[in-house]
Amino acid sequence: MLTYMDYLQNAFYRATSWDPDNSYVNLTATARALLDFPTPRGLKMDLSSLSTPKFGTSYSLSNLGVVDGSVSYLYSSLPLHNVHRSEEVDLHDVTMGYRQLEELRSPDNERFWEVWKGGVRVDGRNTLLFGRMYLPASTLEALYLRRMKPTTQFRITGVSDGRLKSGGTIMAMMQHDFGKWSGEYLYSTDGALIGARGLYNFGRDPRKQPNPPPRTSDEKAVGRFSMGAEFYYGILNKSAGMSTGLRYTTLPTHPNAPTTMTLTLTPLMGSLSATYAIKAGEAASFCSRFDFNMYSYESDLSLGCEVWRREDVEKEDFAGVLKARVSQTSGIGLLWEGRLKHLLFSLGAGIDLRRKDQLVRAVGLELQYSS
Amino acid sequence: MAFNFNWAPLTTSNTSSSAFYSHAKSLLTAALNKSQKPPIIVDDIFVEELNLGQSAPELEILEIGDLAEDRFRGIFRLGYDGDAFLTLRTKVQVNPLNTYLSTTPSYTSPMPLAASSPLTIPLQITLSHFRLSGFIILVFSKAKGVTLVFRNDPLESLKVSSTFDTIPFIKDYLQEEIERQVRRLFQEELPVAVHRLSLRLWNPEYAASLGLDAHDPDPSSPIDGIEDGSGDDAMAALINPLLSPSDNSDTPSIAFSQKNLVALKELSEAQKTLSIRTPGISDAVFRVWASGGGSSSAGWERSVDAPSTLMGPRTYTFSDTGEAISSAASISSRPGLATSSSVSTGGGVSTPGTRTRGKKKKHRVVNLRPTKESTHSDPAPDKPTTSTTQTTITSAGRKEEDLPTPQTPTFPSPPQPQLIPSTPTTPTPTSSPFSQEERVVFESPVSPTSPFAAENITCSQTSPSEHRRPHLRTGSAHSSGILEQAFMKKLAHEMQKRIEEERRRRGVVGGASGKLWCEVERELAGVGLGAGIGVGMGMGMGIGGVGAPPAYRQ
Repeated sequence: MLTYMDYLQNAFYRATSWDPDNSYVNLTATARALLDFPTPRGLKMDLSSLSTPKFGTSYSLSNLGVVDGSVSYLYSSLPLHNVHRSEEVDLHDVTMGYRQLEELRSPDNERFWEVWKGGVRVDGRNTLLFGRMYLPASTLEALYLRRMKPTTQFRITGVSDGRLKSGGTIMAMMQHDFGKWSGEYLYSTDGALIGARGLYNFGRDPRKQPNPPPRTSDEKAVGRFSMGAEFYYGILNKSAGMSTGLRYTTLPTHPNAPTTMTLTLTPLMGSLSATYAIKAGEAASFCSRFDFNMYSYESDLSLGCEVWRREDVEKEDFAGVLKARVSQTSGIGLLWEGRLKHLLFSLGAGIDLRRKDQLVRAVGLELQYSS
Repeated sequence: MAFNFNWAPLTTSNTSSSAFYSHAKSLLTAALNKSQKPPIIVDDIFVEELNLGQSAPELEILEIGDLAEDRFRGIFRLGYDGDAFLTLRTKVQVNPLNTYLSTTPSYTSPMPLAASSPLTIPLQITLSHFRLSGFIILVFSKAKGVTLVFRNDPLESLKVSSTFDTIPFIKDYLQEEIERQVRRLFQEELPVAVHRLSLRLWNPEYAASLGLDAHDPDPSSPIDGIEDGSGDDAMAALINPLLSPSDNSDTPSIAFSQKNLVALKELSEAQKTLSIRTPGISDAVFRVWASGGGSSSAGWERSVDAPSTLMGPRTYTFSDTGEAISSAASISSRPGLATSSSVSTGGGVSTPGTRTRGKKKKHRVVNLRPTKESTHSDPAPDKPTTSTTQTTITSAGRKEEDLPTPQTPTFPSPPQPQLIPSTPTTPTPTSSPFSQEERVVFESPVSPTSPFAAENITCSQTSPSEHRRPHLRTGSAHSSGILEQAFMKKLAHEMQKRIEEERRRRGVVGGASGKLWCEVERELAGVGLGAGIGVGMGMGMGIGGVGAPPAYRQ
């Protein structure tokens, strides 16, 4: 389940019409949501509120052996009116599941962003500030997000922790999204890591053709084929890494069940990963992944699914979702997320069948309340 | 002086050696996996094979700088050039980005899509062809534990072979990295581990802080058969904890060869009884045992003023800093043995109680270095400073100075017939002339059940504040004739060597050429006389002193 602050961040993306799915990082977002979902450990409680449309707070308390917690503050220069309380939020917005991609849309014309008042341009750039302090570990996380242009977003994240080398780390990232393609360039002070990644979408360029496209069934795109690559190089430790990936996903116009297929390749390390996800109806999705390394011959097969439970058949309202995954290496994971009165809860367990003495590895319950 | 390791049980393939190896392997495996491993190692480290090889390491005692029941300081030389090898097996993560992500905080992680996909490769590393050569300084103090320091980098070479031998880049990297780690192990981690272990064993406070029971090495009954008359200064004998076997007496962990024990017993008895038949220890030279503070300064003056009394043994005087060494060729300047004999004969001035109180400052140095390695000691001594240590003893020491001294046959000086009749030769330990004074007695333990238990190094207490001055040899009215003489011989040898070098350098042939030179030679003559070389000799003595000085020939 997303934390409240992640939910607010997604709300900021939506409000500033930024599409995080059109990025190479989220090429396999569907498979990750169905196969790599984290299961909670211990008891955790979140108390959050958006006191004004621009300012949100969140207090978190967790008990995993020792009691610790965190205090978070978020400020957005753009009023976030699309944020709902925990009793009325759409569960699809706070849980990660099958990611149905929409038709690509052209980025806003820069002129539309201009605000003029009395002959003077008064518009500003929307900014999001976020800070979280972990106690008693005294670790500080900070985020600065600035929507610079309709196609550009600048993002700085930092962690301050006395236990880290040189006291902390800062990563800066410039993100571009032109619809047809997107790119990200990053630099991290930890090891002086530089990185670049890009995603190219085949097919229609949303900037050149009228939007929406012609509604004739022949020209209607029913799927999208994307390809991307990433490259990293650590200047200080002189280490490099790269990968390439392909994705085919059906669009909402597709007549059959929504499907996503990806293939990622890491040539240097010889690893290959293929995923296949299908949304079999409104309430169920299934995903499988096959990993193989051609150097070490290590392989893994993972299967996962999510099943939604309807609260009321007529109202199309969902009361919860059950996620399950099984993998050869990481065992079985179960997660049940839903709403109980005003509370959002997330109950999960990790089971490792290979270890008979310690079958259930992690059990946890997470509760969220926001107003 | 070297140790003789019994390596044979390790090389034979019997059940006990295989049991030892399996035990050692499990211990090593546990030790390797106990500490936090670097993120590149993704599996436990298994010790696949361990073999200590056919040849034993060489451990040689170079110098024993300090020796008491509660402390020890010595220098050892460790050498190894054998065929021991060690094979380790583990799995490593070869994707550097995966390792990077495991160390960087997740909030600022670049979150790569697939570039961090893991690739683990089994790795087998064999370490072989160890060549070690190092000097170990071992300092033991009961309060501060054992400090073991390598004075140099002991690792000469090491061969690393691994799964990646075919890739030269990785091979070189592994070789470099493992050599670095092994060096660090020897120079940093091993001393720390030894120190901690010793603290846990001997320091009850430290052990209590760890929640452990400290092992008290003090034996319940001191193996000191000789009771001092004065109760306050009773010598507390102690089994040397460095040599003591483990607590369970049924499995003695250290066994000494019978031959050595016999030799040590002989030596100890020779000291107790002042027997002239002192066995010599081959390849060993004893530095000065002690010499009286007040009396030593007197001895110094005498050596300068009265060069005519060159017969007989000499006294070496050290200043507080240990720099100045002077030699006196006077019999009467050997207060140590004289004191002892005077006590036994009852002719002494002071009571044992006062004397033991006076011997607070004392420092023993037993140098076991081969003579060829000794290069120090200035032949032209600095101006000696009177030792400030002796307060109560000086009067006694001075008065007893004139008493004769027994002569051991290891020192080839002409016999001194007046010594022997005046020396009491009571063989019982309780009435030994050394009993009230400091003794270094190598003897087999009293308990008959454990004949090989340990060598008991029985010494008197010295004030701990003094033992910090490593070169301080303060005078005291107690002695050990053998050590003193052995040190004299060593000094004489060193001086002669120096003079030879000097002479060769200057091209001086024949007699002395300068005033200083004369003095040096005069001093030397005191030693040389033992071999029948007189004052003013020039070349003859020099030639004799090149290889082995005359005083050295037995």
